[in-house]
Amino acid sequence: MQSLFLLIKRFRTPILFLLLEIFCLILIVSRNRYHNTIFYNISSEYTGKLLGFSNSVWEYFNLQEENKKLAQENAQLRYLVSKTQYTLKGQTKNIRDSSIVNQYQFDVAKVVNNSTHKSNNYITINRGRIHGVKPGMGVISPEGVVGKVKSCSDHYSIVVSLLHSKMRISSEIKKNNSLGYVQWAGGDPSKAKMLDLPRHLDIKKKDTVVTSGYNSTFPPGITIGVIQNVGLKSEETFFDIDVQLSTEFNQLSYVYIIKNRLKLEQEKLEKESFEDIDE
Amino acid sequence: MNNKVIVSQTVFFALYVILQVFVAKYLELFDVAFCFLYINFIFNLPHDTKHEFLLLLGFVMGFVIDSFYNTWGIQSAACVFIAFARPFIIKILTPKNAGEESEIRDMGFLRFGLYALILTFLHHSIIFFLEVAHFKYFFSTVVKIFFSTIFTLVIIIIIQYLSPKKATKAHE
Repeated sequence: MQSLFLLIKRFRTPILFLLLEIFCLILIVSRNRYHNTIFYNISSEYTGKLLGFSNSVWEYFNLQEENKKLAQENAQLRYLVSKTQYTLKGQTKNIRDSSIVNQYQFDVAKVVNNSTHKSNNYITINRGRIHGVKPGMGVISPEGVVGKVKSCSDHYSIVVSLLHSKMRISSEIKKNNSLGYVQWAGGDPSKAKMLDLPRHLDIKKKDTVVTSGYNSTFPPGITIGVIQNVGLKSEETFFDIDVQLSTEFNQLSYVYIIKNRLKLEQEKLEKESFEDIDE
Repeated sequence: MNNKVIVSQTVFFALYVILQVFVAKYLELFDVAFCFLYINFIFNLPHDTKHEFLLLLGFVMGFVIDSFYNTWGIQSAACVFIAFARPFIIKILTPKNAGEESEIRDMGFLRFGLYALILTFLHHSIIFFLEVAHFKYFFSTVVKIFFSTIFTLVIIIIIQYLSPKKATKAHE
C-alpha cells in the first residue's frame, strides 16, 4: 500500500496531467453538441461492428443445432416423398396424374408474430394472397403440425394455431391407425389432448400421433406429437390421452404452408354428394 | 514564490483573459489565421513554478477562455498539454553548459522564439484538431494551424518585447 502511495507521489505530475486531459475530453464530448454527435456516431459504428462480429462467432456455436434441425427436416421431407411414391405405387398404379404426385405443395413462410399464452392463439406469417395462400390451408413446421390459415391479406396471413380452443385436428395413432382428434386443452403450450379413442384400443405411452388422411388440410402422416400419458377411468368409454406436441410453439421461426391442389375437388365432391343424399 | 509574484501573475492572468476575450477573439485573418495570445501567460510563468501547479494553472486558464468561447474543454485540453510540455521544451532548449536559467524573459530572442513556436504549434494543433474532431478536413485544418501559429507567434513576440514592463526592465 505504501509503495502504491510512493508510486503515485512519484508520478503525480503525469497522473494529474492524464486526469485533467480526460476531464477535458469528457467535457468536450458532453458539452459540445457537434463533438457529442461525432463521438456517438463513431462509437455506435464500432459497437455495431463488434456486435456483428460476436454474432458471427456465436453462429458457429449454433451450427450443430442448425445441422440437427436441417437433418431432421430432410428426414421429414424424405418421408413425405416416400409417402407420395407409396400412394402412387399402391393405389393409383395406372394413373399417371401429376396432380396426384404433386398433390401437396410446400411453401416456406416466416413467422412474424406468435403467441402461446392466450386461450386462443394466432400466428402471423409473411405470406399472403399474392403468394397463393388461401384460408383453410394447413401450416406445419419441420417438427410437426402448427395450424390452419384463417385469413389472408396481400402479404400476410393469420394462422389459427393448434393452441386454439376451437382447433381440432383429425389424427391417428401411427402404429394402428386408430382414429381420433387432437385438441388443445389450454394452459401448457407443449401439451394437448387426444379425444374420441374408444377404450378397447391398444394404446400405450410413447406412441406417435400423426395427422390422419381424413381431412383435406393436412397430408396424412404428419407428426403431431407423442403420447405422454394414457388415462382410463372405469366408467368412461374413451381414453383420456395427453399428447406431448412435437412443435415448439415458443420457438417457431419458419413454417411451411401446405397447398393441397385437390382440396377443392375433394370438398366439392363431398358437398355435392351429401346434398344429393339430403334431398 | 513570494507574494509579489503571486499578485503580478494574477494581474497578468486577468490581463491576458481580457486581452484575449475582448480583442484577440475578433482578430481573424482571411478565416484561416486566429489569434490565441493568452497562452503567453503560460509561457511566461516563473521558471520555478511546480509542474503540477503549472498543469492546474493551465487548466484554469483554458477553462476560463473556453467559457468565453463556448468551446467546453477544447482550450483547456490544449492548455493542460502545453503546461505539461513546457518544462521538457525548456530543458531541450537550454544549452548544457549554461547555468541554471533564472527566468523565461532572460532567454534570448531566438531561443524564446523557438520555445514559443513549439508550444504555440502544439497548442494550435490540439485545438484545431479537437475542434473538427475528424480527419476528413485534414488539409484545411493544417492550413489553419500553420497560419494561426504564425499569427499568434508574431503577436506574442510583439507583446513580449514591446511591453513597457520589458522596456523598464531593460533600463534597470
